[in-house]
Amino acid sequence: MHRRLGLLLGAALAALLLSAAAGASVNFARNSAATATPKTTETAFERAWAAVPKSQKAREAKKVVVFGAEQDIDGFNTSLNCCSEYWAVVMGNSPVLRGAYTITNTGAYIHDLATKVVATPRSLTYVLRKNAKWNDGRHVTAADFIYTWKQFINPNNDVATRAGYDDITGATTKGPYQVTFHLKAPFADYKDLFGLIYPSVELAGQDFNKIWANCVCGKNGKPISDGPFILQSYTKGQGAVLVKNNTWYGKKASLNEILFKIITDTNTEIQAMRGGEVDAIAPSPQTALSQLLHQSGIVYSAIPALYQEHLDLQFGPHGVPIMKMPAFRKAIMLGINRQAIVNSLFGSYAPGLKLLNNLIFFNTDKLNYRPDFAKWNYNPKKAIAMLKAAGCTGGPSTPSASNNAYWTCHGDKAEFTYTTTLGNQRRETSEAIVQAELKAIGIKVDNGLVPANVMFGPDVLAAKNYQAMEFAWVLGSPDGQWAVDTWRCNGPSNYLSYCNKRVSALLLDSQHQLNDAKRRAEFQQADALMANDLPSVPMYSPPSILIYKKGLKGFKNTPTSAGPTWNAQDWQWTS
Amino acid sequence: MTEPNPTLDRALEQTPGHPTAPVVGGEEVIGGGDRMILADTADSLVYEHGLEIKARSQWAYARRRFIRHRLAMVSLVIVTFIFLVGAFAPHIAPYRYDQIDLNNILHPPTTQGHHYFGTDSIGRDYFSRVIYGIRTSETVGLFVAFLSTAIGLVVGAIAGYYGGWIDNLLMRITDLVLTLPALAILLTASALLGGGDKWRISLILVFFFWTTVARIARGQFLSLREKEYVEAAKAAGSGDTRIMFRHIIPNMMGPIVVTGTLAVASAILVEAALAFLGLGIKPPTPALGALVVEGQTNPQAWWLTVFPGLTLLIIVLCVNFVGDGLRDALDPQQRVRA
Amino acid sequence: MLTFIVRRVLYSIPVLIVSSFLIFTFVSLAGSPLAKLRANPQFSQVTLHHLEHQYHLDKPIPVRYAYWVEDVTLHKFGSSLLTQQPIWPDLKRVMAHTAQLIITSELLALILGCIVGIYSAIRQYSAFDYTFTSLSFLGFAMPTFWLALLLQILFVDIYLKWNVRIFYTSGLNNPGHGAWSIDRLQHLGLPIITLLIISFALYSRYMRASMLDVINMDYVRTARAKGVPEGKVIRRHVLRNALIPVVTVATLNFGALLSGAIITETVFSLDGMGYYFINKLNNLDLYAIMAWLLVTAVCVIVFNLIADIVYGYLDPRIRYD
Repeated sequence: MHRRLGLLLGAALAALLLSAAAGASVNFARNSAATATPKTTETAFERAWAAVPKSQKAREAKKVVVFGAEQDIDGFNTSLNCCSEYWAVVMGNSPVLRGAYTITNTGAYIHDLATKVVATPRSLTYVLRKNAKWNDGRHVTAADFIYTWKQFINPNNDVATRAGYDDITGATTKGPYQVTFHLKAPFADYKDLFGLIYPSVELAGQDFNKIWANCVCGKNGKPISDGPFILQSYTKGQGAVLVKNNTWYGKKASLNEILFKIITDTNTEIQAMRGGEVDAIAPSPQTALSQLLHQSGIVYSAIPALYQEHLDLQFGPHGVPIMKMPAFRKAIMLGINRQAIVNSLFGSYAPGLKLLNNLIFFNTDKLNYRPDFAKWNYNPKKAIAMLKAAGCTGGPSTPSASNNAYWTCHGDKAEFTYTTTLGNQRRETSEAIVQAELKAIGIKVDNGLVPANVMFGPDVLAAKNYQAMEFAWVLGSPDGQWAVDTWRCNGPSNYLSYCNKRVSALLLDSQHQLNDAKRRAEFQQADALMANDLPSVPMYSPPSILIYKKGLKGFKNTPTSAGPTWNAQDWQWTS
Repeated sequence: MTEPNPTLDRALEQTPGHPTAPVVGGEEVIGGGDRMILADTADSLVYEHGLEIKARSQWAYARRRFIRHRLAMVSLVIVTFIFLVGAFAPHIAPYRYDQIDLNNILHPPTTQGHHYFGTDSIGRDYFSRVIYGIRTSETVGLFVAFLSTAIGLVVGAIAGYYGGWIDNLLMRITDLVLTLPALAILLTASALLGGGDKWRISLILVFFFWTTVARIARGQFLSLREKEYVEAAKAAGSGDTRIMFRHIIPNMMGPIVVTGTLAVASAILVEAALAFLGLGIKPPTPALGALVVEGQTNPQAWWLTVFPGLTLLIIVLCVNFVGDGLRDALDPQQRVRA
Repeated sequence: MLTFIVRRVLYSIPVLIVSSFLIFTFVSLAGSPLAKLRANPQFSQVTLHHLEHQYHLDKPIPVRYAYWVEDVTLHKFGSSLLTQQPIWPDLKRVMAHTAQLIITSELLALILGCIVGIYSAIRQYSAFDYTFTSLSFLGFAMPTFWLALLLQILFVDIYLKWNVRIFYTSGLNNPGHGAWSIDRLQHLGLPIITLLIISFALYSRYMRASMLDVINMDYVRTARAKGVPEGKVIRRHVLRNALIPVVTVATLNFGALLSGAIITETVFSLDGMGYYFINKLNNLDLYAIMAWLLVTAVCVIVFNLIADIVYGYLDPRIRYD
């Protein structure tokens, strides 16, 4: 009797729980707006998606492109620390909000909102385009530039970087289309300033930290744009819809609509591309992409990104003494077959990826890049000869995979610890390869895999507590400015304790050098000097990949952080 | 400290190979369901043709039952073989586990070059890596099982024996540990504390496993402390520790041993899961879970996924069978055909 | 009975409080919330200081704990430091998805497990029994991630070879389909099968063992001796009592279920609690991690409480413990 009641109670409790959970699920499902049948709860994205034709021909006729986005975003105000994601820039910034300059895919800065920019040691003057307008009819004016500057220097705004903006002490305008900013010190990388202009009137009074969580809009909620497209809608977890902006000053876009569909899983993304469900994708590099490499009907573009993967060699007190010996460093670089590493990491889906042979510039930068480090390309025999000539003993006479003899150079053992990110497949693989290759020429490499938060935390990188570390500098723009604080003596980002007075002088001067040609020469000289010192081994830049249907024209894969939509106005269907 | 039983003093040899000899099992002679016979000279009776009596120790009896459990025996052999292979990995593996060969990447299993399990994406021999992976798994598994059993036993003993507020406090602490899902805490610890070290991960695993043992030990202690022989020992002036270790613990080892054995399997599985999620023991030491991950990025190379997973499966399966066999052998209350 | 329940609930409250403190302290000490931001050397120091001040990171742990509790109770877990987004809406969403996955697979595992367990016990030592015993052992021993991966690879192969989509191998659903559509079932099919196999093994073994225990009890013998037909004996006397430990185990299994869900969701890229947790862990989004751990702790405590109460109701001996 008791048992029966007990069992009934237990069952009732269980049923209650289950129905609560089930009911909750249904409720949540409804709230998450993922139901299909009732039209009233359909999201903006679902409506747009339903209206997109599914065949390529029909899309060509309607001038619609569907682009697969790999990640969801946290907001479109990409100057903030929280929200500077790549896809936020691609979907909501590059085609929607313009800046003083636009950076092309070859690293050239072309004038955009500013027709003329004059930089002097103490001032920065912008002459604005008179026909640049926001889509609500208002012209883009000096007030917008000043508003932008003010947001960057406001200490309550959680912006990711203030470099340059905090050098500006004040602004004077000459009419609505000209503004002069007064600098307290010369700032050579001025071309990277004001890359994104905020609409002053439409955002007046808003909290900069909270704007644009899921739209690019004014305080009235309406989408705002001064570029070739307007961000019509964004639905979290699903995607974004861009429509042509007819008030843009430039040659109007050929496409009517670009729909970004968020597909977070690589397999699904690849199948979507193969099946024609999406017209283009810009996936992060991974081996699964090899499935698309030889797919018919698509164009597969892989170019080196603005990403410098390198092996820093520590000169400071925590480093290993033998690292200060030039012959040793050169032997390290000569002993590493960087091409083999690149082939094994990227060969299956980005064949022919070039090596990186410069510590300041990148392969895609035709103007500035010089392969200064190419002279240290893989040559294990030369490495051994170099070590022998430097007076090292005990090592092998020829490179051999089964070698067990290690060099000793004037009392120091040829051995160091290779620190890099634990859990990162690519880096673990390159560490394994470097270990084996250096072992073959008589240098012992010890494992130093460390989790990312420890490696970039106060105990390792910041404390310069490593002997050799592989990591990457990731850059948004190709300008050499970033190199100054990284390679000059006692630079704040100079974690290797490297100090070459000439290099330092050149870099420091480049910060104030407003003459483009002179500045370029300074950077190139600095890099050539560093190629003799070998403070760091530049390894590779992983590929930036853009895949799109053959019927599309105008797509240009760019290594900058602006992403493939940097020239969305040029995209069109060929027919 | 107990009186020797004169009727059990005569010992006999049982003629080997008499499977039909009627067995008068320990439990029916002494008392239903009570595994405890006598502390030091635990014996049981075996009648052979009604004439001679062999005094057999409780452990020998258990051993016999275990051996009769064919599945458990076979599994024990397999597991021991695999563990030995892992232990002697440096001598058995045809290659070093970090030896790369960039001319031979992603080679399917073959007999040439002794690449029985094929090679991975940078040409390392997979057979060697799997063997070293076994070594890592078994070290973690055995260490975690042993240490957690020891700790759990002590905690459960104290809680069960003394009862009262000590019991309450210790059980609340156990509850606390059980509050958080083990894998989540392990992952958090690995991510934040910079895991990757074999011993650090093992210690964190021990932190979770001791609770199961503690609960079982406590339950056993609660019931066994009321037994007459404990009262007798107390009356004779034995200290608490002596009673716990000399009288009670030997009689509850059954479930503890079983739990410990099964803990080996669980620990190996959890460590593999951690390695799979990228937060386990750091490379280049191969761990079976981490090896399976490589299979995920190269799905056409089926050998990368199949072999480590299969090895894991076999190890865990066999350990579970051994544990099951032990449970049958050591717990006479279970009416399972031996 | 009421005092028993009240006592159990009162016991749970300090456990919850202490575990919340432990969660906070452990996560805060083990990692700095600003670590990810500091990794970028060009990151503005002004912003770093501002964030430190905003999140009270310069204060001692107990003070920060107090602020965090305030966030949890009054501001629904507050916002993530890294994304500035509120944590609760995301957490709520992923909880719903995981609940759907777990409850479906649990129910199926329980039903199948009970059926198989009952039949195995009734027909002990038969071929059926041996087959399913072996399968159970296989299920126990199966590493979740391996099974998930094999299923995924298998079904990707099927799709690539024959262009037939039986089950989707990743993601929760295609847009435009609801939470209870066929499309969702196709997406959840493989994860459910993965979790099912392991839970099913556990429940069928428990059911079998429990049935065997009860079948040999005196009152069952009495019923048989009275002449009650076997079917009726099983249904009226054996079944109900055998179900008790199984239900208890099912309730207590929640922690293990969640671990299985973490792995399965990672392999199949399902937008659930496990996936959320792994992502936050990789991004070192500490406040989101703390919120997740706390929510999980609450769930486990609630489930344990329910198990205690149900078991206490059914087995009066426990109540006086």
